[in-house]
Amino acid sequence: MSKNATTLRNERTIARLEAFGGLRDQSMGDERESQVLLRGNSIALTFGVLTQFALAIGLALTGYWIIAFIVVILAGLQGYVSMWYTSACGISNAALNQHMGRRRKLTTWGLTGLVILGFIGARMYQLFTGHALIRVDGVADIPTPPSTAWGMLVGALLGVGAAVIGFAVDARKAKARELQDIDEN
Amino acid sequence: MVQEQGGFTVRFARRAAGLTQAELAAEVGVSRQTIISIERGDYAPSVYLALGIARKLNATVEELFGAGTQEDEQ
Repeated sequence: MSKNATTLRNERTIARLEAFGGLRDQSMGDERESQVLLRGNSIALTFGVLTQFALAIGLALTGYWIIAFIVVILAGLQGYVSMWYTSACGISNAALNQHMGRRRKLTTWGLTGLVILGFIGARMYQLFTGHALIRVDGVADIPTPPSTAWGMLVGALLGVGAAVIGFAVDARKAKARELQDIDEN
Repeated sequence: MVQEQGGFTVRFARRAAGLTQAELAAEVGVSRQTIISIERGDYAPSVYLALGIARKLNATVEELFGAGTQEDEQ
């Protein structure tokens, strides 16, 4: 597929995503109001992802790890949509993250690590003891496929690998876009 | 205070043009709150909005928003 076709496809997808997100609606207000709304939405995204992670840990602690896993995947999907959109608009998340402040970096990666540890820890506890850390009475058990510690480790590594590849592709796309812009100038 | 100086100039020019905040807002297609924010210096408008405001107030962007810029300070 040529570069132009890819750009055209991206532009169409961007237009659809913007319409889906209500960005082209009059309810977005004028330019200042749009900026404020977008900042609010950005905060809401962070808050939403964190609460989903908290929910996932809660579910994992009570033994519903497969539902917890789905919640984590959905939280990741939100981040991916944001990353894809910004990347399609020529902004590299990877490049911007390099300029992330020390405190922000510590909070982001610290919380991410904590969530992963909490999630894996809760499942490990269930694997080794045979029961969930927190028992919820009166809730029907949901049959889940068996898992092993090795399987979880491989899964975690695959997840990290996918994230690293995603960032690398994002950085490469942004670099190519940057070079293209220079040529056009 | 770059924005404050620009904001005060916009307010002065708007009053000189005999327009209310609501009237100027309607003319340039933004909310009254946005005009208030610009006049207070809380919001720096886009080039297009700045041009629209300047046109309505019979002034230039430089006259309205140019005060206190880095170039002037040097």
